[in-house]
Amino acid sequence: MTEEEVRGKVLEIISFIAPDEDLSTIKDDEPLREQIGLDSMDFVDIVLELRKRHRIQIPEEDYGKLVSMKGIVQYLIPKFQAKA
Amino acid sequence: MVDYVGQRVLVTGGTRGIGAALARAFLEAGASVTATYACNDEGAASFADGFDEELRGRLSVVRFDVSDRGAVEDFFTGFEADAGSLQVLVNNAGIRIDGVVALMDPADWQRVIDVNLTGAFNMCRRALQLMLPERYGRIINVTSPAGRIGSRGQANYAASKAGLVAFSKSLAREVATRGITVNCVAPGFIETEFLAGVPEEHMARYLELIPMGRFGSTEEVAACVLFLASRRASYVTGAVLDVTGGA
Repeated sequence: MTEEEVRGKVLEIISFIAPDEDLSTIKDDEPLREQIGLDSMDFVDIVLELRKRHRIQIPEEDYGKLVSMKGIVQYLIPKFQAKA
Repeated sequence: MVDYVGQRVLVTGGTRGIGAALARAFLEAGASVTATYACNDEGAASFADGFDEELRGRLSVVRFDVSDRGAVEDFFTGFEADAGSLQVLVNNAGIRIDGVVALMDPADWQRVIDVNLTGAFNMCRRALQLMLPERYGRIINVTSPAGRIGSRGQANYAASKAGLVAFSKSLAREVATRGITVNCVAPGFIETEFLAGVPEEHMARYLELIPMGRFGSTEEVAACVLFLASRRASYVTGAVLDVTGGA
């Protein structure tokens, strides 16, 4: 799966969790939660939705890596590829 | 009667006392029930044997200590693989180790907090992973009037129950927009072995304090839990329902 495809999957989930947010202006290098209104529970929802939709398990000790869109995508690429 | 057909219910401390009555009530209402217990294998076996074949087919009995976070994780890993979903969690597991504060063994203080309060935290934290993606869940925490008014010789128990109320109300706020309700049921004096250790003269005094003049039954507590855990109780969250005969 390409970087673009992974990014698309992540945006799909974020727009499901936070449907009122404008995701088109997201800067990939900056912390996501500073750009759009996602609180801690939204973050939990995103992690659980990745598990539900894509069977991707994210251990809690890795949550700190999921800060910027770039960080999230880079983290998830090998996980998506392992499933392919 | 409320309908629980197709629902999965988890009752901690579900093989004795109030927990056993809850497990039975959910089974009779059509649910698949997992009842947990910490140490009494014989009691758990005799509890399971007390059901007819149809109800027994929908009951699992599992042993682990809710205060042990690793054991809770191991349980849920297996539960998720077998059952896949969870609609209702009842944190009923609780212990008492009584004593006045001035003489209370610090280990006894900690043990009661660990099981009664931290156990519920451990179970809720993990159960949310099943409930949140489905945008539905019912969490019932069994507390006690002692958590509101205190109880001489039970500062650890009372503190754990008061903590459980505040925990429930906080969690209720966190998950309110996600179809999950979190409520407490606070039974007063209920006819179970929990009361068995209480001396005769204390029992007479307790009865005088209860406007209804009698102890409650486990079925009367179960009726309240079954309402709060049902789909119909969809606008009740962060509440504490006293089941005390007016005390």
